Amino acid sequence: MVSKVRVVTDSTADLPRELLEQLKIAVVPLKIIVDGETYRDGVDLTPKEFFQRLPFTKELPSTSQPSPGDFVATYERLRDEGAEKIICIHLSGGLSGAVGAARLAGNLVDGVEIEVIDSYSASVGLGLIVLSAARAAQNGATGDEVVALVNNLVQKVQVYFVLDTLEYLQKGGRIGRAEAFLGSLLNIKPILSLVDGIITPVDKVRGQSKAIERTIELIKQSSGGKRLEVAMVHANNFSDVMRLHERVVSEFKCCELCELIISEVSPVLGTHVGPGLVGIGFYPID
Amino acid sequence: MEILNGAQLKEMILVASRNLTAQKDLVDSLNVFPVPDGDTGTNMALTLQAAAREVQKLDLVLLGEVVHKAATGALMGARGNSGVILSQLLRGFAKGIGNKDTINAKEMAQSFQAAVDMAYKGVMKPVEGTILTVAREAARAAQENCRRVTSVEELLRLTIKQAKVTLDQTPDMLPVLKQVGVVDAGGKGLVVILEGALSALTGEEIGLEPEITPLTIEAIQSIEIVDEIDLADIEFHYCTEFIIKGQTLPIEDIKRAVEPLGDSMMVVGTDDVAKVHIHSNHPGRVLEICMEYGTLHAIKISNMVEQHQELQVAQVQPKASADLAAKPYGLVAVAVGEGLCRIFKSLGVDQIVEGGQTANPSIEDLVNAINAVNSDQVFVLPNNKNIILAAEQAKGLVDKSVIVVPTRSVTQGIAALVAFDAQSDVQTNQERMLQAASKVVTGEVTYAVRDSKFEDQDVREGDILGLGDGKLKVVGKEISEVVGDLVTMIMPEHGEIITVFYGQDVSEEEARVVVDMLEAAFPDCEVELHQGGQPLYYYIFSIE
Repeated sequence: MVSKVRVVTDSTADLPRELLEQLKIAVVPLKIIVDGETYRDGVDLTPKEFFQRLPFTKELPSTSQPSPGDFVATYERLRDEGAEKIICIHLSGGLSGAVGAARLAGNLVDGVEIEVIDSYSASVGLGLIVLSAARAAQNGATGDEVVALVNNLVQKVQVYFVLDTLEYLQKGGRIGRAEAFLGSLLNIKPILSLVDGIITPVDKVRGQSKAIERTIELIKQSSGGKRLEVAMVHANNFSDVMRLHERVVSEFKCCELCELIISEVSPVLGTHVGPGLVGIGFYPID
Repeated sequence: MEILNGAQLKEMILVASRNLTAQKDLVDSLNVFPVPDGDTGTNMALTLQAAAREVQKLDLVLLGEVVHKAATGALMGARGNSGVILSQLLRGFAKGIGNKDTINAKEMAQSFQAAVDMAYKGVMKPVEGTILTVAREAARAAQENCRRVTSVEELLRLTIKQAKVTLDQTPDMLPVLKQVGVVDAGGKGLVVILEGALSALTGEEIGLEPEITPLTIEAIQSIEIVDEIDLADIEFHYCTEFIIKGQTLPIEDIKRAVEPLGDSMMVVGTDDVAKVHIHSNHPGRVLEICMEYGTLHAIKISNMVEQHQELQVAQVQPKASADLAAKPYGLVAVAVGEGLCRIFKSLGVDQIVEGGQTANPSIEDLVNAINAVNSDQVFVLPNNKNIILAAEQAKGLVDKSVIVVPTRSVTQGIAALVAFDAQSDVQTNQERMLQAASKVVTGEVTYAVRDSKFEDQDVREGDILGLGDGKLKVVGKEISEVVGDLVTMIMPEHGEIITVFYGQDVSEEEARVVVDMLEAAFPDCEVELHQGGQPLYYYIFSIE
């Protein structure tokens, strides 16, 4: 029996396919344009394929949000499958117009209650919120309960991203406050976060090991010894995300998700952050 | 005409779409808000194309049906924020028209207002200085004028006039537009759409001639005009080249005005951007004449006779005032060596004082540097133990608040700068910078200037010396060997990055050989090579 409360997100949630299917989460893909061809993010082009092609593209691939029509189609499908309430959780409005298009579309579909929520996050930060919502819905929570849960998590979820370079963020126009970090001739790894839904610099260090250690320190500072729900992500950098994973597991008490979720960044996010990224989303569980 | 029907509106939408598509690159090139991703023109064009496709399919051209189909098509195909706003404008316009078969000027004005109301509703945080403002002011002008104007065509003309006026004002409403020196892309897109619609009504041709493909600002700027000059008989001495940015630039007029001033003249461009190139003996006059048409940018004047002389004038328009505002913190560092100075600048140092291991800067040099920084709170990095004292003295001689971070080498200085955070308070920065500086292990390789003794060894003048954190550790005959031995001796337990700066007496090839050696000897470490250009020290390196 399909739940009457359904969860929708977009392709930047970076959740593994098995989990999406298991929890019946609907995904509206953003679009990525590579050398003139438009692909549905994660559907027509996978992260692996994208990073393989990236060094050879003539110009930096660009991205675009789903059109309101794409959301409408998904809402109508879910409604026809029996949904009474649809909860949509999306990539930060400070990074993309996707959540705005979703809201517009929400006003156009009758016969089902639709609530659109800006996660103020991205990648696995968004993914963790979506997962929690979908689990609750599958376990019989009411629409209102799921919305309350989501709004609570939006306040608690944090992300840290270690990038190889700020070049991609700058070219894609999303560098936000991290512009202050530009320009160094030395090999410095920026550690970034999302604050109020916008890219914000946290620290900069030399070397990947130091970057991982600093990230662990930062998580320690913000988690206050509590148990954590954690998910990690990388952009064509499996070896470094595994190093992060090792450190996280040895330093923190994590819940079951921590063992399972190491995702690769979607092409849409990938073109904005560049290969080499290692990231983590987390929230404390009281 | 006094009324507008469905067939006319259909034509207006189709022509508007073609017009916008033809000019989308120009609109793209203006895109800096909300993110400078350069796709506003493309997005609006694709959105309007989606509307046009729906309208094209219609056989029965009832006004209500045309506008509603256009609105739905736009909504379904809306691309990007600007596309979504455009689709909302269309939806509102459609709502205003409702089921009517024709509208008069007054009803058109009301429908414009309905469009604006719908667009504002659809945006969570409306920002002034964007397409919304242009649309709003245009609709207001339409409402005001429809009382005395009964011609639909005339009303649309007046609406467009106001839209253009407001568009020109957008840089005053949105700071980022002013900083970059452009009008709002979305607003420009809207003007292009309205102009297209008007031309469908009047049958007049608009702006762009079909043979000229729209040039992006980049394209125009990068047009290379190659001069083939026989230096022997140059009549006009100064090769003068610049960009004019303006509104509806009259290219032909500009050509006529500039032509008499020299030869090899070329003027290329579009309504808003043009590149001017001419050989003239009065470059100043050329500039002055062109200033009448717009703002001048990327001005290059070179004296073709004296090939080495080059006059490069920066932007004539005053830059955004943000450049001149005081910063909360200033950074002064002592360094010597071209490469090292470049690196310090790239790390955010405002003033470099030349000094270091050979010539220590005077207290006056330090005072001048501190005063030259546009900030009341200054951090000073002496990068040499002999300069720390001078820096402390300089502190007492200035009016500003100065903190001396007692760095003893450029490597410590660099580590301190990496730890510096403009967002943190003074105390936190002081602590972090000190801590970072203390964690760095520093190596220096130089040569002995006289005979001496080191432990049980005789040191001859010209021997290679390796110092670790300022203390002599290794003596040898061969530079590469000493580097290797020194690194081995001072390598800390968790050393991971060796950053090597090679001095002015070392070539890049020699440095690379040393780097290869280090990478082989220390496979767990990352080795980074930079040109330091410092005198005396063949190599300075840090291990972190």
